[in-house]
Amino acid sequence: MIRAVCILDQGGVCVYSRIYDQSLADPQLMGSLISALSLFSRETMGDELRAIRSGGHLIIVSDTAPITTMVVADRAEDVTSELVDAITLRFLSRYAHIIKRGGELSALREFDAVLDELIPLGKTAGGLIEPRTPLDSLALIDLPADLRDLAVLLLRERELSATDAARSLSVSEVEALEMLHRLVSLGVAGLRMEDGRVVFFL
Amino acid sequence: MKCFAVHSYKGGTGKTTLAANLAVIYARMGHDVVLLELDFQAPSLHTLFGVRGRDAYMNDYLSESATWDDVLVDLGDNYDLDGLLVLGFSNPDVDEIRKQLAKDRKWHMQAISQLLVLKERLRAEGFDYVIFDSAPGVHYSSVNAVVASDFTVVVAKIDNFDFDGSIALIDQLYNPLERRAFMLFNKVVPPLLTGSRPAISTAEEVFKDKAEILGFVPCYCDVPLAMGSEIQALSQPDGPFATRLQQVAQKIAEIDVAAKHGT
Repeated sequence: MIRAVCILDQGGVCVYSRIYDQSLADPQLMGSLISALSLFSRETMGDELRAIRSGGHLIIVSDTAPITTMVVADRAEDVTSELVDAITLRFLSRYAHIIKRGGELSALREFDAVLDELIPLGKTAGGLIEPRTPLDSLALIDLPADLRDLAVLLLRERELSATDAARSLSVSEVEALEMLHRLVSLGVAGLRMEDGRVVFFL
Repeated sequence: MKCFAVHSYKGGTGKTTLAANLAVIYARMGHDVVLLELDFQAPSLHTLFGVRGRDAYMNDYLSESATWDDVLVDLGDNYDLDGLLVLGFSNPDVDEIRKQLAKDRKWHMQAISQLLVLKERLRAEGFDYVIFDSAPGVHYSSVNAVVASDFTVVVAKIDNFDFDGSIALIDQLYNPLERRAFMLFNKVVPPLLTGSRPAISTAEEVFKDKAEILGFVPCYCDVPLAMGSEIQALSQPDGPFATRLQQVAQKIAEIDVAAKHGT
């Protein structure tokens, strides 16, 4: 089970985090710890820190300048090196310029959607992603126009499966699922597993 | 079913008076109408209809502490109307108004959800018109009303405050939400409608390509003389104010509301 993914800059500051297990420590604290341990490992043992076990969790660390990728999981089998590489490369290809030159970190939030692609929901802790911000009527104004009808439907129903959304909006289930995931990525909807299906909620 | 919000940029444009009169006009025509007061900062519909001491208000329905059956009251029989005239009042108690102002974003999300559920229920029950009497300006309650409605009737006076403010609402609120706006100019001083002052052409020029104009309602003395306790469509249905509003009601009835899937 994967419990968190964090990206640190070269100063050890956590610039992006996706926390699946809300009981974990603050990502900035985890980032500071990992950054200090990485430095210690490099300077005293001449090698990069690759993983540590702490509080029953395994923290996998991958240094690829200018970022450090950190994945918190239960067991080594939960995280393949391919997955860590994919997270690192996809992040760098999109946001290296922001990390190097400094820029608006809120743009990094869009990486949620990439992680949703890379890590299936069943492999994350609790199978639950909570919304980060309420979907109120002012938030509705800021949504992309193509998501607005779906958002109003979700507001009325309060929770929806992709099948329900597809039927109500007369779109395909694949389209409905993609749009619902975008609402989750934007932080205005959450998702959870229920009886083997994904339910999106406010 | 047509569902519209009566909104304005500034207060004092006559939203509540117009919304109440339009509701009565439709009910007199035999339509089943629901008028919901969503101005929680300055409730006044109870004064206009002479209703006091309700057990439950719209505030309670939106908070999920009362059902719509508790909140909605049918006044159609009181006035011998051909259609239903169902009202939902907001709570005029100052403590309640104060509490309302302290509600957080999560509450307002719940409120818009409750409003959308109610709209769907009223559609299923066969109502013809649902009218939201909203607060002026950009408050959560007024934006909720706009989101839940099919289109917005924007009430404005003939002055530059309302011209500029209404344009801002159209550009930055209704258009992003894909809600059509229809301008209704109220309290128009008669010299601006006749003679050399070109109020109509000015308004038409300002709102060209922005919003359709539903009409210009002159400032009739009968309305302020009633001191907010008379609905002209009931007391003087053939008077000039009610007659003018019947024309507006007819134009609103002709607005094509293309039903959106699921919403």
